[in-house]
Amino acid sequence: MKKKKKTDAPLTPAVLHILLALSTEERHGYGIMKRVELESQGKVRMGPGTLYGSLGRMMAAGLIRESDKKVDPAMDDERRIYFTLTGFGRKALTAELDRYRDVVAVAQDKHLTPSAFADGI
Amino acid sequence: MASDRAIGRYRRWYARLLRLYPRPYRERFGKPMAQTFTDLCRERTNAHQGLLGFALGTFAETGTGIIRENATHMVMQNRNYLRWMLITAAVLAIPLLAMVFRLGVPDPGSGTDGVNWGPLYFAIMGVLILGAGLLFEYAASRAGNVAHKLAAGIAVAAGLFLVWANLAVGMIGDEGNAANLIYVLVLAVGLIGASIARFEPREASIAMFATAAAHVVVVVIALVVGLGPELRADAFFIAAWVASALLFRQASTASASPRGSTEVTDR
Repeated sequence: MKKKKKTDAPLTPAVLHILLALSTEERHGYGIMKRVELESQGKVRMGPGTLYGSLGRMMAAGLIRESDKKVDPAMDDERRIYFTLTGFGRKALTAELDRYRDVVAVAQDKHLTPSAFADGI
Repeated sequence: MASDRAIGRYRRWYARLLRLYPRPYRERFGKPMAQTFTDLCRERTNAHQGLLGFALGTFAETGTGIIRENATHMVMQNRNYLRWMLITAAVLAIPLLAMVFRLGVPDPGSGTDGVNWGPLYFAIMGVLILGAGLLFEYAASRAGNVAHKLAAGIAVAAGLFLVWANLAVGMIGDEGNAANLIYVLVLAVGLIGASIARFEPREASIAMFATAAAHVVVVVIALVVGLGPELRADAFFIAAWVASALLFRQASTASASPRGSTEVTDR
């Protein structure tokens, strides 16, 4: 019997960032890496080992899939594998973002700001 | 250009490093990883940054990934073996703990109130349980439906218990009675039949009926010669062989019929 996939399982930071990078368009490995770096303002940097390890596990989990091989006009003439979100990946990303929104809402209810504990540090 | 030569050199080294990934992973991601590495090298040379520190750092990062992927691959490849090794260890831990803590667990084989197994007996039981488990895994891997798996499970379990019963208490007389060797005939028919059948349901069904018939013949010989077999135990084993044969037959019918598999399939 095939197990039903759960979209409500929390995602690791690397997986979340990769899903976010792929949420707007399909990208190749280097493109994902640069997008993650840009969106995290340089806080999240992945080497090829981490990136492709995560991509492999995400493909196995059904979050993303390989799309066609094609040439990136902005790069060189090498054909590259592009990765794209699956429907399940999109649902998992939406569920994770909802969780983050809930957490932020709780923090706002408590009037907690990033500097709220600055005195205690 | 000098930077292109340097990039080419580092890419060749990186490609060599990627050979250490498990083959399925390498075949899938080897080329894209090398491309990404080259892209990162170009980015650095375009920004007039050195490559050596970056390359060493990336080699170390990829090395960590290689260790992780190989460990995952090894566990996935051998998880059936690992599972049965754990089951074997867990089963053997019961008599071991009973011996260590002198628990009064009855052990018909030792003739005492407590368990008293020697190292050889532990080794024999370990080989038997592990062997039976791996045989079942092999059979289950060929099974297309629940009936097929159940049939294989019953056959393997019956074979294991028959050996254990003969070693522990003896089906005829006690465990030291050489007449118990007659049951080797039953096991031989079962094992040879299953080997020829390769656990394919229709052929395995015939093999299990043959095993049941061999068991009946053994009981008849034991009765005629006056060896005094334990008929209730024999009846149990014969029922198990027949049940396995019938389930193999059901599995064969289910897999042959395109609609028949709906009742028993687990896929």
